[in-house]
Amino acid sequence: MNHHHLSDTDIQEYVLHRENCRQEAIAHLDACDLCMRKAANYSLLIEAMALMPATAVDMETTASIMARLPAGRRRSRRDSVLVCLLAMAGGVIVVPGYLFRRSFLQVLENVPALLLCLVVAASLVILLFRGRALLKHYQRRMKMLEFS
Amino acid sequence: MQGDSRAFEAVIKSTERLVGQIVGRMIGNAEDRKDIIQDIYLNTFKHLPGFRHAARLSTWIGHIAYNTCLNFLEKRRLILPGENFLPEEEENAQASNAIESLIAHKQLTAILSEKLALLPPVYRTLIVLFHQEAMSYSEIGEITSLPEGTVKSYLFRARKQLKEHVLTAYKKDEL
Repeated sequence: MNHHHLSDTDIQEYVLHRENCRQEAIAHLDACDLCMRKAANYSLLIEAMALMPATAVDMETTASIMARLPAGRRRSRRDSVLVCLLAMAGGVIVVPGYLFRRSFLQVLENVPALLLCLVVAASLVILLFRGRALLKHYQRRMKMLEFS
Repeated sequence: MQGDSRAFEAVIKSTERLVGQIVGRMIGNAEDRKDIIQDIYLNTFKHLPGFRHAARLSTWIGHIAYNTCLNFLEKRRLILPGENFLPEEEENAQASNAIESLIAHKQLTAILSEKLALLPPVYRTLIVLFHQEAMSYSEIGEITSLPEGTVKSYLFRARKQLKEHVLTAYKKDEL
């Protein structure tokens, strides 16, 4: 047994993370009443600390915070530009698609069935992977926000 | 969630305990605490679009709360660890007396709350985050911007000081 008493750091380490404690320290504690009493003191303090009443935000404060929040933030300019661009892109695809629908159908009729199946299958696989990635991203964000 | 007041109310609900704990332990005056809590949430709301999900939302808000309190304390030039620690008392046999036997008939938790107030604000916060909020060293490090090793060593010192305060107080009572 080591005859030098343990430091407070060693004793706290023993109480909190016994698995990380040095073997000599554990051996000393098992044989030393003084150090064991100190460890008992720390155990008691640590248990009591977890039971101390929490200091919380009162409801009045929450209400006053909500009252001081800026009322409804305007949609950002960047969002508006993005919506316009998406609408234009949709228009560019849908309008010619409608006007030249017969020609498109003729082109599709001329494409071999096997190639068409391959294109559709590849698109579905890509969509599936993208969907899965989006779902994971969403779940990760929700976890970060602690709403799940 | 950006700009949505209802969602923000949910954010307040899910983090009010943590924010209350940080502010409650770092700031003594109740009126100051109210103002600081409002500032914290208004700042959070303002900067929410910049939240990049690199950390948990509560940790991020905890970080804002901690920094807001530190800025307040610095303005008031109050004690921070590293500047003006309470003197560490010498090891003595008295300190080894069992706390349980000294305060057998008193509420230890109430006594601790009282003695905790004697520690420097940062120590109080670390104690509360670790022992009451059950946060890991790394989460506390994210909130306080302190390295994990420093968090651990501050916690060791804080517990030691707290134990000494409790023992000293009850030694005096006995005399």
